[in-house]
Amino acid sequence: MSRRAGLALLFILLAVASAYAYLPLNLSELAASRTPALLVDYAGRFWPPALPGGQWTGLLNAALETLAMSAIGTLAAALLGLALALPASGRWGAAALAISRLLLNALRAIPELVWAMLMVLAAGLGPNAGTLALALHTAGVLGRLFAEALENTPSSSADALRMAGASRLQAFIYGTLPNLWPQLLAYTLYRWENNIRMASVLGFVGAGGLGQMLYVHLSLFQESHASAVILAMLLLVIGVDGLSQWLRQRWVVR
Amino acid sequence: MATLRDPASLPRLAISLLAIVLLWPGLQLSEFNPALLLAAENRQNMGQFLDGFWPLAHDREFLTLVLHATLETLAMATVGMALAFLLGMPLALLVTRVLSRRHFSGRAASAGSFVRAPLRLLLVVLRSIPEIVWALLFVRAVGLGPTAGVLAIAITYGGMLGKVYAEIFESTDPKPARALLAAGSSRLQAFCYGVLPSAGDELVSYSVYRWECALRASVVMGIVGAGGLGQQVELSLRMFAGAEVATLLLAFILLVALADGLSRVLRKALLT
Amino acid sequence: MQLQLTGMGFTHAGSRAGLAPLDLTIAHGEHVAIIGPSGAGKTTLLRLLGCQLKPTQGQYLLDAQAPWQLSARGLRELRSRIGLIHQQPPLPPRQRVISAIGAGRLGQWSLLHSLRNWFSPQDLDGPRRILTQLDISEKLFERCDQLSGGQLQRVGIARVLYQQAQLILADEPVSAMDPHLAQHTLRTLTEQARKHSATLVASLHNVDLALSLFPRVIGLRDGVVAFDLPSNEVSPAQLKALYANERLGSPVPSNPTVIHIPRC
Repeated sequence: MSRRAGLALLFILLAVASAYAYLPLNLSELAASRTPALLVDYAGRFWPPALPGGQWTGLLNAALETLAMSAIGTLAAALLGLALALPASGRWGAAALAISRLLLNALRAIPELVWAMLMVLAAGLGPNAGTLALALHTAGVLGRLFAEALENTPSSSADALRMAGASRLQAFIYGTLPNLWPQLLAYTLYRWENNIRMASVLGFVGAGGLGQMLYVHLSLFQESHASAVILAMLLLVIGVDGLSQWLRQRWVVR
Repeated sequence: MATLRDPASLPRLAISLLAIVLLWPGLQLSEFNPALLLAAENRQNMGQFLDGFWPLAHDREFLTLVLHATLETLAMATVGMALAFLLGMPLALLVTRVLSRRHFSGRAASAGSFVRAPLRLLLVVLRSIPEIVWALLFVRAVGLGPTAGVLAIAITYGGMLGKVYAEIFESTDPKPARALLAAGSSRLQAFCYGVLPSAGDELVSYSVYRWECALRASVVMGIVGAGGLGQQVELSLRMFAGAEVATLLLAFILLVALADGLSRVLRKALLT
Repeated sequence: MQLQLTGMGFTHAGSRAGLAPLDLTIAHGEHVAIIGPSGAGKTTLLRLLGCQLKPTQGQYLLDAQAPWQLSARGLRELRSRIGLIHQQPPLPPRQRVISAIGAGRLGQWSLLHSLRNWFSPQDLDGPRRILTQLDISEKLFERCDQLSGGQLQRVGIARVLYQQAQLILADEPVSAMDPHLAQHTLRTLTEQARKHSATLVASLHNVDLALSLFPRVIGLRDGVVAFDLPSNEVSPAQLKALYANERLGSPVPSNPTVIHIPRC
C-alpha cells in the first residue's frame, strides 16, 4: 500500500469517527437499552400483510400509477435530456455549451423529492407533479450522460456521409445514431430502474403513486396495511429491474 | 428473383405499435401535463414564490441552522456508509461462491448453496425497498432525527454493497484463491491474499461512488423527519419562504459539487 | 466528370501527408490507378480530388467548376455526385448492411424520405442487385459488425455504386481480400463504372491488378508524381524505383466502446 493510500484510509477513518461524534446518536446505547425488543415488536406488527377487501383495487391502481409515472417521467427526461445534450456536447458553440451545462447541473443537483415538492406547489397535487419532478431531475442526469456519450462516439461514419452530400441531420441519423442509441438506451433503462424507486416514494409529499398510501397507513398505525403497500413496491421494483435487464440483454449487449 | 422481405420490418412495426398502445394508458395514469405549469393561477402562485428567492436568506441565525443541517447531512451519509460497509462486506463474503470450499470440488448442491440462496434474497429485499421508505419506518421506531436516516442508509446501501461486492469478487480470477484454499489456508486468508489484490481497485471506486449516492439520499431524508437538510427544506417550503428555499437549494448544489470533488480526490489517492 | 488540376498542391503544418504541386487532367469516364509506397500521399490526393480537403495552392476544376468557390449548398450537391470508397469503410458496427448501402443516396433524399428509409428500408432490390454482383447478397440483412474485413470493403463499394456517383474515388478498395477475390471485385467495380460512364480513380497496392485492369497508371512517391503513363508503357525499372526502401506500416487496432453506467 502506498503512503498516499494509507493517508487516505486514515482520513476516511477520522471522517467516520468525527461524523459519528457529530451526530446525536449513540448506537451502543441503542443496542443495550430495550430498543431492540421494541424494534422486534414493531417489526412483528407488519406481519401478515393485509388490506381490507375494497382496498386491493386501490392498491393496484396506485401501483399502475407509480409504474406510469416512472415510465413517462423517464421517457420525457430522455427526450429533454437529448435536446439538452446536443448543445452540451459542444456542437453548437461555446455559449450554448456553457448555458446547457449550467442548466443540466442545476436540474441534476436538486433531488427528485425536492422537485416534487416544488412541482406540487407549481402544478397541484397528484401524479402529474411526480411525473414532472422525475422528468426534470432525470433530464439533468441523462443529459450529462448523453452529452458524454455524444462526445465519445467516433465521428468517422458521420463525416464520411457528410462528404458524400448528406446533411448534418441525415449524417447524425445514419452515421452517429446506430452506434449511439444502445448507449442512450442503456442509460435510460438504468434511470428507469432508479425512477421506479423514486416514483414509489414521491407520494410522501403528495405527488401521486404508492407513497401516499404508505404514508397514510403508517400515520394511522395500520402496519399490516403498510406492509401490503411495501410488498407492492417491492414487486414493482423487482419487476422493473428484471424487465430492464431483459431489454438491455436484447437491445444493448447484442 | 423472389420478392424480398426485410426480416426486421415486422418486429419493428410490432414494437412501434406496442409502444403506442402502452403510451396511451401511461399518459392517462400519470396525468402528465406540463402545460399545467403555465396555467394562469399556477403561474401566479409560482411567480410570487420565485419572487421571494432574491435576496437569498442570509441572516446569521438561518445560516448557522443551514450549516448545522449540512454537516449533519454529511455525517449521516458517512456514518451510514460505514455501517453499510460493515453489513455489506460479510454478506458479500457469504454469498460469494469463489470462496466456497465445495465449489471447486465439483459437488453440485452443498449446504452452502442453501445458505446463500436466502441471503441473496435478503440482499434483494434490503436494496429494493427505497432508502426513504426505510427512513420512514425507522422514524416510527426510533423517533425523529438522524438516527433513522443513518439506519436507513446502512440497510439499503448494505444490500447494494453486498450485491455489487459479491459480483466484483466473482468476476475476479478465481485461481489464486482456489490455490490458496487447496493449500490449506483459511477462507479469510484466501480472500485477503487471493481475491482482494485484484478486486481492490474496483471495490474502492464503487464504495466512493456509493458514498456520493448516500449523500444525495441523506439530503432528502429530512422530508420524512430523519434529519439533515431535507427537514429544513420541508419547513421553509411549508412556510412558503422563497428566500430560505433558495439558500437551501444553493446549499444542495454546493454540497453535491463538494462531494463530486472529494470523491474524485479520494479515488485518485486510493487507486494509485 | 472531368478533372483538371493546375499546380494543385497541399501542405499542412504538422502533417506528413503533403502533396507537391502537380498538373493533371483526367477525362470524363476515364479509369486511372494510383500506385506507390505507403505514405506517398495517395490518400491525400484522393481526398483532394473528392473535395474533402481544400488544396493549399493551385487550382482544381471539376467539370470546369471550382468546387471550393461554390456555396455550401452547391458543394453539398457536388459531393453527393462523388463517392469515396475507404480502405476501412467507416460503417457503424451496429448498422445493417441494407441501411449502410442505402446511406449512399442520402445526398439525393429529402429528410422525410431518409427518415422513412431509416425506419424501414424502402428499396431492397437495388442494394441486393449490387451485392449480388459482388457475391455477398446473403449479407443484405446482416449487421456490419458481423462481416469480415473483405466483406466490409465490398459493402463500402456497394454503397458508392448505389450512390450512382459520377466520380468514384477508391482508396485501396480491395486490400483486405485474397488476390482472386480482389481481382473479381475490382473488375466488377470497373465494369459498373464504365456502364454508368463514371470517372474512376483508384489507389492500389497491388501493382499487377493496377496494370491489368486500368488503362492509365500514375506512380506517386513522397508526394511527387514519379510517372503518369498508359499501363502498357510502365517499365519494371520504374516500378522498382517507385517502391525502393519501402517501410511497412503497422495497422492501427480499433477498440470497441465500453458502456459504463453509474446510477444514483
